[in-house]
Amino acid sequence: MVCAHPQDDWKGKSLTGIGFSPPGSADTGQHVERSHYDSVFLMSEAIRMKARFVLEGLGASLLLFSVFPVLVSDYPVYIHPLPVTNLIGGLLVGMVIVAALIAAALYAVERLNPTARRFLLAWFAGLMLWRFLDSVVTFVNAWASQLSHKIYFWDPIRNPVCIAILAVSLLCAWFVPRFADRMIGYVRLLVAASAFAIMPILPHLVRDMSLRPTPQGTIAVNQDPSLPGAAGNRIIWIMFDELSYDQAFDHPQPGIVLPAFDRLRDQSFSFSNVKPAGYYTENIIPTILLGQQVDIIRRTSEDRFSYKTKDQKQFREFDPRDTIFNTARAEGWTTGLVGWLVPYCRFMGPVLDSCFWSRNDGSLLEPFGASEDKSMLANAAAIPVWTWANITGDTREYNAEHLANYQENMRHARLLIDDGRIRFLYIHLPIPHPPGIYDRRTNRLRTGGSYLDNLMLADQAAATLLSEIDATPAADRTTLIVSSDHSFRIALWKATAGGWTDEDEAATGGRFDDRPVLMIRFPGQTSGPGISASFDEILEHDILDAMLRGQMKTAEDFKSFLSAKGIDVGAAAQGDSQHH
Amino acid sequence: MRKQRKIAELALVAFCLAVWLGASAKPVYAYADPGTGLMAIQILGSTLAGFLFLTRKRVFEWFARIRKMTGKGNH
Repeated sequence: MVCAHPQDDWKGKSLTGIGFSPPGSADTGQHVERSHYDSVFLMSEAIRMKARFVLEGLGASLLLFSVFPVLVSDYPVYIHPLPVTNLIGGLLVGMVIVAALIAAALYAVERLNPTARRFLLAWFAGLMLWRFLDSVVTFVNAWASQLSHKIYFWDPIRNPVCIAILAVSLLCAWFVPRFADRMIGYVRLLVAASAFAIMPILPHLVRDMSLRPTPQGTIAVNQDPSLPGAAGNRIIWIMFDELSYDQAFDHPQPGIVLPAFDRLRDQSFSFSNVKPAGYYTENIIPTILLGQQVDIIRRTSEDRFSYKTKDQKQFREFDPRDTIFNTARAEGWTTGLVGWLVPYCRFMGPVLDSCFWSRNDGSLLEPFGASEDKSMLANAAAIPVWTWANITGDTREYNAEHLANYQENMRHARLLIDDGRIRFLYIHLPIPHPPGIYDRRTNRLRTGGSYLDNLMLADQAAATLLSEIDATPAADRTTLIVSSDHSFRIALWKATAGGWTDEDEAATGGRFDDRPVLMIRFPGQTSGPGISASFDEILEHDILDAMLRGQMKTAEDFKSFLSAKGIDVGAAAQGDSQHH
Repeated sequence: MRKQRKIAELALVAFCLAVWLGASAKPVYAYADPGTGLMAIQILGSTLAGFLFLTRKRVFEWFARIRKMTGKGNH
């Protein structure tokens, strides 16, 4: 017997020291009379048995909770206001409760008759094996999708694999009980081993829980009435999150009409082969702002985060004075920012004259009733609510939050465009990034829709903002940059419930095209070449830097810049001809 | 007593079903984030270390057997 009955376990030769009898060991174990053991031994065996259940309970709980990003990533805390002590504490309390329940259930199962015990343990082993597989594939996917962007096989087969594993486990328990017992033993060992994952997870969570706000950490919105009056050139940079060059220009789907983007492309330097600086917005944006390839970010306090680049071994504190916004300020530009997701205002306050920022954040269960103002125990109660939302596939909370953020960002974008005192303005919009918030057939905002719906909305947003810009007194002195951070990330959204629709599948054919958008229109420019040469997105930093330093004011300056960077002018000319 | 046992068994089955339902539902919009990969390596490493710890006696036995087979144990 692999998973020895507690009442029998004392007979078995404990090979592991904590009550585990690895497969095959117990059957061959020597039967030793109880009388040969003293009471101390029996007590230590009982403790070992309890340790076994505790380990299995904790391991199973970790496997179940591995779906919470905060356990494995700095990102949820990166975007969240501090402190997060009770929010993360709620998850920890929930994890402990689930661990205790599973340990108790396993303890109870051991007391059932052998057949019932075997079937229930087979079911448990099957489920845990699947959770282990799901966790590993999800992690590998998160890691590898940044490299290959092609590992998205898991989602369609995720639930069938679960059912298949459970069915095979139960069939084995019925037809080949000895084999099932061995397999159950192996899987329970794996579950108990998973408990050791708490070693990196717990310090990570405790560190996050200990982060405290700092006095400087309030969101920076400098409504300084003494800003200099409107004079000189303006630079307005509009970033559409997740705008795919392929979907917008190369392979627009039937019925998808994007007049604002098309018009802008015809009037601008348009790059059709931009190499993205990363896979995630939270890495790409700092990369462009700093001009350094940011690979990993880590929150350190309310108004600070540190980052690692490819060449760095140590984390380095993010300093807003290293960004293009500081360059702008040093060169006499006033700076404004309307952002989404990346906590711009918190980390960039000192170099911004005006800032607004919104975020989507459901990973700490606030949409499901959790709050930093509540106790950890009360926050743990949000876990069943969140679980039920997952079971029912209810995404309304997320869609509504995204919609509200879009509307707020558009409102603030228009305000700052109209405020001529802001000469360098950066607008980061949360579209066409999923979830869907628009119905292109009825032309109405809503909670739902596909990437294509959001793409049409992005075009409408572009039209709105462009007409707003054209109506400003500085219109003929405004350089416009329209870009996206990354393309439509097939692997990520396919693996995210609520993020992928049949229409998205049909539109992309499951093929990932990693090209983001970049279009630059200088004052007075009415036509421009399409540039098909490869162009690194990180160079957007250098372009902005040159513009802010006054080294790039005209289309001719930009052509010289491209030549200096080795961007093939021939390719530009070829792109131009393709364009028209 | 028998009735109580039946109730306990049913409660266990219900608990199992609840866990299955909760575990198999895919979290909505909880996509894996940057940095996950690094943490995943640590987690997998810890799990592997845990596995080796739990089976250490068996592992030592294997090593002892290998040493014996290669004759190193005689020296």
